[in-house]
Amino acid sequence: MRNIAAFRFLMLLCFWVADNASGQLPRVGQDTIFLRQGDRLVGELTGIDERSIRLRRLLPPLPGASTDGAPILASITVLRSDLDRVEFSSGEAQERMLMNATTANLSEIEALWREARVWLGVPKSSAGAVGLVYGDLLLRNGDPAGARTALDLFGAIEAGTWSDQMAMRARQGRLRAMVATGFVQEAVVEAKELERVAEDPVVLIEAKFILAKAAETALRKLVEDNPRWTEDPFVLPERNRLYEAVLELYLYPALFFGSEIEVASRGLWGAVEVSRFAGDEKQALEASMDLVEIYPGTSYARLAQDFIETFPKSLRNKYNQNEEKR
Amino acid sequence: MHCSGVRAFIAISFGIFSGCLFAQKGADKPDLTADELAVNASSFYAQGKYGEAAQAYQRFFTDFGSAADAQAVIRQMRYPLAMCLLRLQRFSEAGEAIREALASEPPIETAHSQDLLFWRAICEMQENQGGQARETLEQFVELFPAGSERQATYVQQYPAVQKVSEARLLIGTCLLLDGRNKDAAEYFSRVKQGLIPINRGRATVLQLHALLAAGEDDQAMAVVTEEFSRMGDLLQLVTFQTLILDLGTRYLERNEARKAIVCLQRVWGKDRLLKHQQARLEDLESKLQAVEADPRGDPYAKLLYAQMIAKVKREIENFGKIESFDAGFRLRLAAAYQAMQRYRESALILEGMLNEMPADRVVESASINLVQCWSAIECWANATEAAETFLEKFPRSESVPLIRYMQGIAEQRSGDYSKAIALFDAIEAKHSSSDYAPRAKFMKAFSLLQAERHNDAVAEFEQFEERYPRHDLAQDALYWRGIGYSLDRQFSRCRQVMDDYLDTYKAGRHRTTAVFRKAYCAQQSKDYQTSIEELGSFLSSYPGAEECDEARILLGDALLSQGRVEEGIAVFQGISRENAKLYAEGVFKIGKAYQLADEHEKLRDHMATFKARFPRSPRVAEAIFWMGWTYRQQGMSDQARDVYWEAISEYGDDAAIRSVDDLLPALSKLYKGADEQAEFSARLGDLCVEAERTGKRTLLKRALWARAAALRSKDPDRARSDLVEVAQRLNAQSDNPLLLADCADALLAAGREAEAEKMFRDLVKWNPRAVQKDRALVAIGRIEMQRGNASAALEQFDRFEREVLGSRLFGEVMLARAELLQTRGRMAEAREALERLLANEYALGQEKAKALYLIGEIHMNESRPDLAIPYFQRLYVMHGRWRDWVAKAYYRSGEAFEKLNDQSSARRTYQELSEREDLASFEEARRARDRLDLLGGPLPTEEAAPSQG
Repeated sequence: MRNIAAFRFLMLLCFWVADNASGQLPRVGQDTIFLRQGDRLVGELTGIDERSIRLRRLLPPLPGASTDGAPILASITVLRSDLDRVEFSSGEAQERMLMNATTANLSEIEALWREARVWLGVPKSSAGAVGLVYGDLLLRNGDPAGARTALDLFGAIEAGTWSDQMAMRARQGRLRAMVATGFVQEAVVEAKELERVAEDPVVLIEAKFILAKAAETALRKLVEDNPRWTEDPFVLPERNRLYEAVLELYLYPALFFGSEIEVASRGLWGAVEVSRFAGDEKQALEASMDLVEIYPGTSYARLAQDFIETFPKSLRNKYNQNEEKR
Repeated sequence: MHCSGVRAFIAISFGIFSGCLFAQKGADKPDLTADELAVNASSFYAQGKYGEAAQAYQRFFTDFGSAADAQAVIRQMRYPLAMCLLRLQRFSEAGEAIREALASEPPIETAHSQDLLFWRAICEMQENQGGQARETLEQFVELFPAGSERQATYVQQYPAVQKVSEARLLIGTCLLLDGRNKDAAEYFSRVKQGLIPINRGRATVLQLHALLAAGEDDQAMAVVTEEFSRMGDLLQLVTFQTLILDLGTRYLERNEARKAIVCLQRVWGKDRLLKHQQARLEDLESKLQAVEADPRGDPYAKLLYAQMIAKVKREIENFGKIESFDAGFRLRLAAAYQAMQRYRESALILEGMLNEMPADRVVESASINLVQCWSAIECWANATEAAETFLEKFPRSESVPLIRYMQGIAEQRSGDYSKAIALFDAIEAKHSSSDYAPRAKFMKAFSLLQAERHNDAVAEFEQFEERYPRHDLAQDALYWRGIGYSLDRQFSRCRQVMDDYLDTYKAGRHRTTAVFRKAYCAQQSKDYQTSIEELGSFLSSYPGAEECDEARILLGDALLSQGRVEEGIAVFQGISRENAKLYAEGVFKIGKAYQLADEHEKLRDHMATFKARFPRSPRVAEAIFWMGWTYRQQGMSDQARDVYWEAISEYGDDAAIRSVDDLLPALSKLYKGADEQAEFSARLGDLCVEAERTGKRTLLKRALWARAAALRSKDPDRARSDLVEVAQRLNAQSDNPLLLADCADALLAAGREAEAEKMFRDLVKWNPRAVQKDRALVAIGRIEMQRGNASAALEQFDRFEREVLGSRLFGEVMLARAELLQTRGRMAEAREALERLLANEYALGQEKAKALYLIGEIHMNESRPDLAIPYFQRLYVMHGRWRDWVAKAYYRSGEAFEKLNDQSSARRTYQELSEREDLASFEEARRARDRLDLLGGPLPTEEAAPSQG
C-alpha cells in the first residue's frame, strides 16, 4: 500500500498548487452540435424529428451594420445521420430538481420527461436520466397504474437511449417494474440472465435483489410446507442451502458495493429479515448493527435500531464488547 | 521532502518548460535602446519566451532603472517580470520582484497588485515560509468584499478575486505543511461550507488528510460518513477513496473491526473508480470542445475545463499505476469481518475477489482463508468447492496438502466418508513429507471407522502408530484402534489395546473412556466378574464421567446376571433422572428384575410410580402393559383392563402424551372373542359420551378412533363413518399421525378425496419422520394419478423412494410408478423401477410376480422376446403361488418362443401350461391349448424337456 500513499500525497499536492482559481463548474450557455465529419455548430436547439435536428444560430453582423442592432438569427437543419453528439446547454435548476425529486414532484418530473423524451436517442442527451427519475418516482408512488406506466417507460428508455449505461439502468428499472406489476417469474428469469452478464453495479445489484427475493420466497414456502424441517433430514439440507443463498444475495451489495447506500442498506435489511425468519439471531443482530453504524441515515437503519432494541441490553452489547476484547 | 515534490509538481502543472532556452536572437545585444529593449521584452513575454523576456526586463532595469523618465515604464514592467520568473520557477527571484512591484510608488495597477499578492504567498510557500505565506494569503482574501467573486463586472475588473477560493484552500494547506494538522482540519471544516462545490470537495479531501495526519481517526470517520453521499461529485474521488482505505486499515490494525468495515465498505473497486473518472474526463473534454466551438464562449469556462481535465487525467494516470488496489482493500474488509467472527461475510468477499483475480500469492493465501471461513460456519459444500477451485488454480502450491486435508474434513463432516477417505489417502500418497500426511492418515482411519469399515480402520490406526510413533495423535490412534476392535466385537483385543493405552499414556486424554471401554468389553464378552469389578471401580474413580449412567446400566445387568438382584436394583436406582432415556431404561430393567423374581406387586408399584412421575415418557404404555401383565399373572383380568382404562381416562385428553394411542390397541387385545370385543366397543362408546359431555376433545377423538378400529372387521361401514367423524376433529399439528392416516384413508374410501388429500399432506407436513409417511405419499401419488397429473404423482413416488425406508408399500409404489412411466413411453425408466422392486426385500411376492411379468411385457413390446423369456420363466418358476400371473407368464413365454421361431420351446411351454391343473381355469390355459394344436400338438415325449430349460 506504499504506492497508494505516495499516489495520494502527490494528488493532494497537485491541487494546492493549481495555478488558477477553480470555479463552479461553468454552464455551457448554448447547445453545440458535433457532426461526424468533425464540424461543430453552436446555437439553440429548436426541434427534432425522426430524420433531423433543427438549430437556431446567431449570424455574425453584416459588414457595416450597427453593433447594437437586432441580432440576425438563422435556423438550420442537420440530418441525424450526420450527427455525432450534442453538448446540450445545461440547466442547473433541472439537475437539482432531478437530484432532489420526491413523489411530490411527480407531475413536474413527468412534464420534464415529456419535454425531454424526443431527445432520448441523441448522444449526450440527458433525456434518459430524466426518464429514469420519473420511472423511479412512479414505482415509489406504489400504485399499480404507476407501476405499469413505469414498466412501459423503462422499456422505452432501454430501447431508445443512446447510452449503453442508461439502457442497463433502464433494464434494472424495468425489472423492478415487472416485480411491481406482478411479473415476478419473468423478472426472475431475466435477473438470472443479468446476474451472468451485467457489469454495471446498479443493474447487477438489482438482479441479485430480485433473485434474493425469489430465493427468500422459496425458503419461506419450504419452511411453511415443512414446519418441522429441523426434524426432516430430507428438507434440512435444502433449507440450509436456500438460507445461505438468500443471505449471500442480500449481503452482496453491502459487501461489494457498500457505497451504494440505498441498495446496500436495503440488502442488509433483507438479510436481517431473513435471518430473523430463520432464527439466526446473531446474523440478524450483526446486520442490524451494520445498518445502524454504516448507513445511519437510511429508513432501514431506523428499522434496524427498533429491532436491536427488542434485545436485552446485555445481548446488544455482546458483539461490540467482543469486538473490543478482540 | 514535501518541497521537492511541490517544485516538481509546479513544473508540470504550470506547463513551464525550458522553451526559454531557445532565446530570441539579439535579446542580449549590448547596444539596444530603451524602447527596443522594452518592445523586445513585451514581445518575448507575449510569445511565452519567459527566459528571454525576464532577461530583457532585468537588463532594462539595470540599464535604465535610474532614469527618472523610465520609472513609469519600469512600474508597468514589474508585473510581467514577476510572472516570467514565476513561470520559470525562479521563486526566490520572483518573490523579490513581487515585493518590489508591490512596494512601487506610485502603486502598480490594483488588479496586478492583487494578483501578485497571491503569487507572493506561493513564493513564500516555496521558500518554506508557511506562516508568512498564510498571512499573505489571509491578507489577499481580505482584499475582496464578501461575495464579490459572484459579481461578473467585479470579476472582469479584478480577476484575481477568482483566486479567493483557492487562497482559502492554500491557507489550510500552509497549516498542513507546517505540521499543524489538527488546525488545518479545523480550518477546512470551518471554511468548506462557504466554498463552491468543486472547492468544497477539495477542502473535504484535505480535511480528511489532515485528520488522518493528526491521528484524529474518529473525526475522520465522521467526515467520511458526512460527506460520503456527495462522493460521486468529488473531482478527487480517487484520493478520497484511498484516504478512506487508509482509515479503514488503521481501525483494522487496532482491532476495531466494525469501524474498519464502516470505512472499507465504502471503497470502490479500481475498475469502477477508473471508469467513473474516465467518464467524467470524457464529459469534461466534450464540454470543453463545446465551449471552444463558441466564439463568444466564456473564456473562464475554457480555462476551468482545461484545468479540471488535467487534474482528472493526472489522477487516472497515477491511480492506474497502483497494483493490487482491489486485493488490498478487499482482503482488509474480509479480515475485518473475520476478526468479528463473521465468517460468512468474510468468505463471500474472498470468494467474489478470488474469482476475478489472477492467481498470485495474495490470491493463494486468500483462497486458503476462504476454505477456512466456510469450514468455520460448517458450510461444507462451499468449503469443498473452494478447496477444489484452489487445487485447480494452485496445483503446485505448498498448501495443497492443507487444502486437501480441509476438503477431506469437509467431506467427512458432511457424511461422505468414501470421498473423505480418498482425499486423506491422496495426501498420504502424494505429500508424504507434509505435516498433514500424519493427520490425513489419522483422519482416514477415523473416517473408515465412521463408515463402519472397522477392520480397515484398525489396520490404518495401527499403521499410523508404526509410522508416526511420536506424533501428537499417536495416543488417539491407539485409543481409536481399541474402539475399532470394540465396534468389530473383538472385545478381548480391545481390552488389550486399552491396557496398552492406559500403560503408555498415564495422563492420556482418553483415559476415562478407555477404562470404561475395557469394562464394557468385559461385559460384552460375558465376563461378568471382571466387568462388575471394573465398572464398580470406574464409578468410584470417575464419579463425574459422562459414561457413569451407561456404566450403571451395564453394572446392573452384570449383577442381575450373577443373581445379585438387590445390588443390581440399587445400581439402576443410581441412574440420574436428568438422563431420561437411560433412567427409563433403568426403570424397566428393575421391572425385569421384579418380573424374574415374580415380585408382581413390586413390579406393579414400580411401574405405577414411573407412570405417575413421567406421564409424557414414550415408555408409559410399556409401564402400563407391565402393570396389566402383573394382574393377568395373578388371574385378575378385570384389574388388568382397569389399569389401561384408568390411564386412558387420566392421560387421554392430553395430546402431548402420545403413548395413549398405543394403549388403546393394546387394551383391545385384552378383550378376547366377539362378546368381549362388543363389551370393549360399548365401553369405548361410553367413553365417547363422557368425553363429549366433559368437553375432553382429544379423549373423544381417541375413543372414536379406537372404536372404529375395533369395529373395522365386524362393521366396516360404521368404522369408516366413525373415522370420518374423527377426521373433522383432528388437528394435524398435534394429533398422532396414526390417527391422521387412518382417518384420511376413511375419507378417501368415503369418496371425500379433497379432504383426504389435505389430511395426508398435513400428515407429511407436520410429521416428517412419522412411519405413516409412506401411506400418505402413496395415497397422494395415487390421487394425483387419478387426476391425470402424472408428473405430480411421480414427484410423490420419487419422494417415497427417497424418504421412506423399509416400507411394505414399496412394491405398490414401484408398480404405480412403472405404470405411469410406461404410459408416458419412458420404458427404460419403467423397467428400472420394476427392477428396483424386484431387488427390494420389503416388496410382496405378488408385486414381484407382477413386476416380472411387466418387465417381460416391456421387452416383448420392444421386440426383444429373447430378453422377455427369462422374466416370464422366473415368474412361473419362483412365484407359483400367484397363479393368475403364472398363467399369463406361461402363455406369453410361449408366444415369445414363437417370435423367436423356436417352435419346439413354444410347444413345450404351451403344453406345460395346458397340463397344469391349477391353471386350468385361466383363459390362458385354453388359449395355450389352441396354440399348441395349431403348432402341431404336444412334442414327442423324448423332446418334451422342461420349458425353463
